[in-house]
Amino acid sequence: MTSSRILSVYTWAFLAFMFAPLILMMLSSVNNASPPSVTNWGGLTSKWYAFFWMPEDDLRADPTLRLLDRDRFVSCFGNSLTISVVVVPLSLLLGLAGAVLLTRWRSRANGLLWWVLLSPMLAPGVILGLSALVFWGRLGVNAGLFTIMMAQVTFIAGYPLLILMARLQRQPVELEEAALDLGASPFRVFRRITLPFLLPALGSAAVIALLASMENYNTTMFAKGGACTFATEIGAMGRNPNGHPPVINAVGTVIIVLTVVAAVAHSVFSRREAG
Amino acid sequence: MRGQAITLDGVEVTYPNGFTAVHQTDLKVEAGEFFSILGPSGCGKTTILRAVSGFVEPSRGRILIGDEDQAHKGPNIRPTALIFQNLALFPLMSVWENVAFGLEARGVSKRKRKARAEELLDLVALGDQADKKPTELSGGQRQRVAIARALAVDPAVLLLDEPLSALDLKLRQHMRAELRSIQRKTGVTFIYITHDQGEALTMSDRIAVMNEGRIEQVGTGDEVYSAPKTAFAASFVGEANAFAGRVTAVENDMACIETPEGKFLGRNSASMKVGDAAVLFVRPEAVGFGTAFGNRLSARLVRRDLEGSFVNLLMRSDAGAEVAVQMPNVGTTPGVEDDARPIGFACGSAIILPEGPLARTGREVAAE
Amino acid sequence: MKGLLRGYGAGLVSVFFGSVLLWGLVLIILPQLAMLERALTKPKRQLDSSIAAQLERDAANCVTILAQYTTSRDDAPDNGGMAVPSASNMAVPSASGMAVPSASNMGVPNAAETRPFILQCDRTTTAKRMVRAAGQEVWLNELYNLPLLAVEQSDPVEAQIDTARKIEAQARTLYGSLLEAEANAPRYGAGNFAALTQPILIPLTDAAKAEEAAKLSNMLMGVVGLRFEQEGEVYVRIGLLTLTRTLLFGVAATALALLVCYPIAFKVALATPPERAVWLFLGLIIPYAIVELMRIYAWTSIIDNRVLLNEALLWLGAISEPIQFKRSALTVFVVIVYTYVLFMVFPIYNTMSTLDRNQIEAARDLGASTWRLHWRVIIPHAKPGIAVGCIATFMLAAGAFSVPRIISRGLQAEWFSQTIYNKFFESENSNIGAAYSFAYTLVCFLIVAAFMWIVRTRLKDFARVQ
Repeated sequence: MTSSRILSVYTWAFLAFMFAPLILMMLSSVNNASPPSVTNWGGLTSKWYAFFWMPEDDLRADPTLRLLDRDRFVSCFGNSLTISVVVVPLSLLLGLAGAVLLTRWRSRANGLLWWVLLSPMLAPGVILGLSALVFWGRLGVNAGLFTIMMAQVTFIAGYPLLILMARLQRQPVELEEAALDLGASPFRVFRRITLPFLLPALGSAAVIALLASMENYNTTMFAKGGACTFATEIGAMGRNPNGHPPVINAVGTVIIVLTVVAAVAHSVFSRREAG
Repeated sequence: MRGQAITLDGVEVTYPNGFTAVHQTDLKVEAGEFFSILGPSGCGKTTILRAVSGFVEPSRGRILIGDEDQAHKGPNIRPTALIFQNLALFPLMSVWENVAFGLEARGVSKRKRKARAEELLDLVALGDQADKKPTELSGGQRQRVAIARALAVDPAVLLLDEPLSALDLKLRQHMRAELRSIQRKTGVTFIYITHDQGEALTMSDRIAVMNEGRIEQVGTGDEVYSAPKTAFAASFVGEANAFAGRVTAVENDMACIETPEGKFLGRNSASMKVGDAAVLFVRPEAVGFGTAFGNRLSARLVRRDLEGSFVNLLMRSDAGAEVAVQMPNVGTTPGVEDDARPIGFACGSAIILPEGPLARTGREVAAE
Repeated sequence: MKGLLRGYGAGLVSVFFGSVLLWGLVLIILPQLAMLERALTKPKRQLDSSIAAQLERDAANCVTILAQYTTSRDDAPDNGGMAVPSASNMAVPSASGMAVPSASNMGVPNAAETRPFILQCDRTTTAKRMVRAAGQEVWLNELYNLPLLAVEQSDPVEAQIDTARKIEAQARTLYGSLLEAEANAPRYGAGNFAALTQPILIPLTDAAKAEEAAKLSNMLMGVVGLRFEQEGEVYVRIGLLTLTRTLLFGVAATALALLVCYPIAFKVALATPPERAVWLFLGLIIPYAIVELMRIYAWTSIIDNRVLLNEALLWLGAISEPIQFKRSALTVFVVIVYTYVLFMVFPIYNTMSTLDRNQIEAARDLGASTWRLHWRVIIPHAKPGIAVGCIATFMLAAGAFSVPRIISRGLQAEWFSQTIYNKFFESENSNIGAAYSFAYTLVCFLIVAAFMWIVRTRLKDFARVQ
């Protein structure tokens, strides 16, 4: 009884440790003080959010906001979207191909393939970015969005790989064999049996790949050259020795709220489906 | 399409890892026959099935369906339909879509597919379940969907890989009768794989007994049960008491065998000669109490197991051999006691076969 | 292969193989080979021919400047002395490239035998020190049998010009022959990797040295050879030191994360009724799903100079001055643990939740204590998850770049990934950065492989626990 009480208290303490910084972040995003603070209360404000749409003149009037380059921030975010438009489908394709070969290809090369395809997930992210930069540089491609895409795909494809592989291993081979036996061509078997079975897994893999691509900092920093993305721009804003602008906290708050809503909605829906 | 004959002509299957699952095998299954392949797990019977359906390419020999050689034809081209052990119903399709899938693959229009699917579902008495998902059906219903799905492509041969093994006893017995009647109605050739001799004996026109990649005997149920040709067939199909020894005399179609339990007389259907190492088999139901038998021995009752309509008795002979006796439960079976009593069996009910591998007993299987 | 073709058809199979080939070869293997090649390529700057070329340029510039000087001295004596900095002065701050009139000569225009200091002339000597490993002193004239020539400031200017011309000619011939030799010499060498182990001198006063030497960490570094004293000077193998430090922090963060997470995973997976565990699980998923950078920024509101933690401590009177948390390696460590701790929870949770709860009941029923229950039933079952969690957390912690970069803002010792960044993008020789990066990949793989071997985990477990 007591040991389970200790475990409960410990769990709540852990959750508090996980959530406290996030809550502080949200609080300081509505505090009119820069750098962001919760102790130095400057009054309630929404200007850190309004930064993204306030008129240019108001922007110039604010001592903190006028130092920031809004257009650059928006264009970096656009870069992130461009990158993910390439990275997500490409990762799904590579992950699917890898998952099929790893689960269905009986060969001696299988063990080697495991090591090769999973190695990017075992390597520090910075190395993937740097090696993409060096490799494509040798082929005459300058660092930029393309090298970022290649570097990200290298390891992001690993997420669909693992997710789809888990799903494929749960699908009995007999299903594909049965369809084949009933006269379907291999392509039809794949389209009618395998792909529909993988569809939910492909969906969640796409979401995870998108998040991974958007938030990636370590790999992107090394491969970006002169380009910028959402994550590197956020990172660059924090390199201010006087503390970062609270605009970051506003962005963070939006992300936190979106995440909470998505997670709660997901678990409510999946409970309803199960129940 | 009516059922067609299947011919295995010197078929041998060796897997890439060097294991030979099926040794050189000749087999002819007649058109429209209900044919069972009976053997313990790992004997190669599933490999034969997969070779016929086209998932495994024989490393040697030919497979003919009708008169047509099936070499290099994929499973989607052969006129066979396979019913898998786990049925392999497509979980995301409705019942009728499952049944119509083979037609869909052949480019049949949706209206015609649906009509044909409903026809087949009526045949297996599932006409009102067409729009459900397979997961919403019971085990027996799923079984029937799998049969309907296989029949929808109008196969010449239906291959069944132990499809009843997951069902409980009552349902299994019912499905045996149902399978048999569907086979009669459609006239399709059935090849049925099983390790359950009861299934094989009740349903089949003919049975092949298989062990370690070789077919030991092919014959009707009665032939296989009453006149086994090898020690394995005798011990695998039904229960049998085995007494190993050496042939000492041969006369007409009878032989005499000397065993540690004594000298016994039995049918010499394998034409054994004097001096051959041999085994005498006798079914438990052929063993009885008393002295009015051609072969006699003395034994003590060790255990009595009530099965319901009959009783299994385990006896131990004076020489130490275990003898199983089965008798109808008419209220007169003896209880366990210490006294030795005479038991025996008729010469005509015993069969003498050459020495060879026996089917593993339950104790041996459990010891693995 | 046959089965694959039969199951998916030639078209799909070739798409699959093509994709995997693209991924494995173009995205994974070839980039690493390109890195290796880059790491093994000797940097141009270090070649002997480039030193000869530099000497030739300096000599030529010296001649030009001296010639200008003589004319300007003749024309406008007072106005002389300003030499034009040579454009080819690599790596030399331009201010020091200016030939500044020496103070003693100011206002003495008629002293014909003197001239202002001219850097290029000062550097015009055949006694050039070659770029070699630390501690080696090799001179150009000795190495290639050149006469020892130097432009002496005390010589008459015409003599200086003459000497400079001679040196220029010598250097030009040498450059030509060296260039030819180097073109035939192997382009590759392990020199960039050697940079990782190179010691650098730490200038310390005697008092500071004594104080430093007494520190336990420094003594430990001495034992493994990361720090040593030679002729009274302290040397530290800074590259290796950073690597070791990063790996140790990575291991420590992993161990701490494991300790913290095991009870949490157990609580959520096995010690809570399933309908309530859903909400606990949600509580773990939310911080996990939030963008990594935001989790890091969230901490700056706690540890910056005039915010939560310092204000609280000041208010409590525990400190009188704000603590510079961001200067402390411990802060980076804590934030790394915070940021990556959940990568430990989920693999363990995933394997634990596949354990049949009846097994726990059975073990309890058979009289097992809590400790024995965990040791004999739960941990063996969760082992693949624990192993995968450890590997994932270690790789993230040891490879961390965002956390130290944002939290420390350059105010403390580097994490190794920062070293790679600086070497590659901000030093003269990016090939050393490539060598660092490649060495780091190798070390990390060896550590992971050794760990997997020790705990008997297979790579396939990754697919099972994610």
